[in-house]
Amino acid sequence: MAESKFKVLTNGIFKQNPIFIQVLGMCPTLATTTSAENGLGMGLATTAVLAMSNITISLVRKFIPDKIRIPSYIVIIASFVTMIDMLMHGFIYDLWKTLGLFIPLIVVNCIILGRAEAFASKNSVFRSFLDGLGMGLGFTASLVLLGSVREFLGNGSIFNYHLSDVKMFAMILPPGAFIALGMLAAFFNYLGIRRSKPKKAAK
Amino acid sequence: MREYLKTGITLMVITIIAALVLSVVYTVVKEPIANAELGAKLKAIREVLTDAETGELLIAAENIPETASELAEFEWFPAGFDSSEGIIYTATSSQGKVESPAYKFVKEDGSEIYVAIGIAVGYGGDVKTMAAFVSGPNGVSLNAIKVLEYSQETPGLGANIANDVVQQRFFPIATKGLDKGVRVDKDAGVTPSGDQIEIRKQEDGIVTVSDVMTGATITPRAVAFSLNAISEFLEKAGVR
Amino acid sequence: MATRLVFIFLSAILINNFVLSRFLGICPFLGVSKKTDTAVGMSIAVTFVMIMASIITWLLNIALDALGIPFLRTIVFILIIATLVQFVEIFLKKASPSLYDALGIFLPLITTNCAILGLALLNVQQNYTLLETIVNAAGAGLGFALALILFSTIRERMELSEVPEPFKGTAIALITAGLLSMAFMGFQGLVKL
Repeated sequence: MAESKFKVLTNGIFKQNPIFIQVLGMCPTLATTTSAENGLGMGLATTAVLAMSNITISLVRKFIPDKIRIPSYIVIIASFVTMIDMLMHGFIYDLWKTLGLFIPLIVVNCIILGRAEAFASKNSVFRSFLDGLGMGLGFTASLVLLGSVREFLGNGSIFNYHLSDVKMFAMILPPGAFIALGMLAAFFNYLGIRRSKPKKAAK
Repeated sequence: MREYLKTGITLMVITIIAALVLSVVYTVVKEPIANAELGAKLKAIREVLTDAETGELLIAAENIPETASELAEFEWFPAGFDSSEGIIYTATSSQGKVESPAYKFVKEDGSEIYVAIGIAVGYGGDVKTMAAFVSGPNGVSLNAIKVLEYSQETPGLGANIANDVVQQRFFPIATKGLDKGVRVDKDAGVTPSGDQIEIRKQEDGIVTVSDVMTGATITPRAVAFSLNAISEFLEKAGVR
Repeated sequence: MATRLVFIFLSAILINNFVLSRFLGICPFLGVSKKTDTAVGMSIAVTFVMIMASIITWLLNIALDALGIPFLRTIVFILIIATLVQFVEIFLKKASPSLYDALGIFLPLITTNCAILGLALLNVQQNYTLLETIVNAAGAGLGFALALILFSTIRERMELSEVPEPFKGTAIALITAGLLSMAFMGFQGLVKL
């Protein structure tokens, strides 16, 4: 493989950030970022599933007939999600309760199926693990960012540290989620444009 | 045909392996899950048994149940009620049910505290509220509540019922207010502010939440229904 | 009884719109809403899968509970949905090849549409009867359709407006969705139980 292992890992954080670049996994992004803590919890749960499913799918990739690869991936992913759901229920009860319905919905997080299809089915186990980890971390970082923005503007706090008294209630509500994510997306686009402009000017 | 058979069997094998692995995890995790659920309930009981005004426990600290068996000692089954379905009482004057079992604690001075979980339908599902009613010279008053289940309410809206600030608006309520029936301010058609918030709550049972729960009435209303259901239950049980 | 059904129906379409309030089905919402025709086609496919999946998963859930294996729910549900989507794909390929081509990759992606799995799980979680489940599914599908079609008409017009560079594409779509969501919040107090 031409890509270094390190690059495989960081790919998911910046260059191919699942939320801002690939625009995948939107549902949990908008729903669970009412606070930085919730975003972090959701991100880590998803990362766990991503890493484990990538490893498993990479392990068995040679045994799965092409025709049923999607349903097979789905069963494997769903198993890990159920496992994480049960483990959280038993050991991190409060977070489990807060994330609620969105834990089983990790199954249909397009990121996981997407990486299974695009990477884990074609790469070695360790690289697949790195890819899953990287994408998961990128996802988590984006969730924490969005969660922090929404929590700060909507509640004046970040990770429950009270910081300001400004409380724009709308940020915690659904419209706020869309708009905050839109503004962040625009901001990252802007950064991307600025980075490519000097290159264009130099040409 | 062979193709289909091969793919079908492979998929079935994968599914069976997955099911087996999950069964193992399930048996391992079953107990921690039960413990977590119980822990949450015990924590809530401790909270509602804390005097709303003084912040002190209403019963001696060593008597607060910490295990399922300790909790079972406080179970209360008043005569004439059927608790087989998990519901001990269904309110008739409002929409709400009382979960079984209810609990009875006795203070040092002999007066009784009744703790029950009321269930009412909120926005997207059931809202469960645990409440502690203390019997006093004037009758039964509401000491404290803890909303246990609200997972189906809209995040940012109804789900704000989870905030302590909001829940604290519901208690304590004096007997007089309970007799009038607990209502949220929107339903009562008034908007108390300042001192009036406390007065209207104690006198008329009007709970002001519209300022801390903007745009969400159904969820706090469900809490009010739950409280009224427990109140009615206590009346039918002859302790109110 | 009837009022409860009406409430569930209206709630799924307007008050607790699956896309704009519950955040379910965002991926297709953002991905298929560039043209209104594909939006309509997608909506019909999704609504059909929603109703069928809700009925089948509801029935299967009874079996799962009876057998004492509730933890297999997620796997079973998603497999049912995946199978249903396969059938829809095969059917669509024969019945309307143009729509099949237009929907492209998004057709198999209906499987990963969180709205369908979310709906199935919600039906179970809220202990709906079979009739309530069907009504909820119909409402969810219509709500999804409403949001998707409305959004696509707005996006088609936006193609012709001058959007600042950084906002082009996903960013402006998200902000527009936010405004749409805000508008739908107006339905909050619509039905009083």
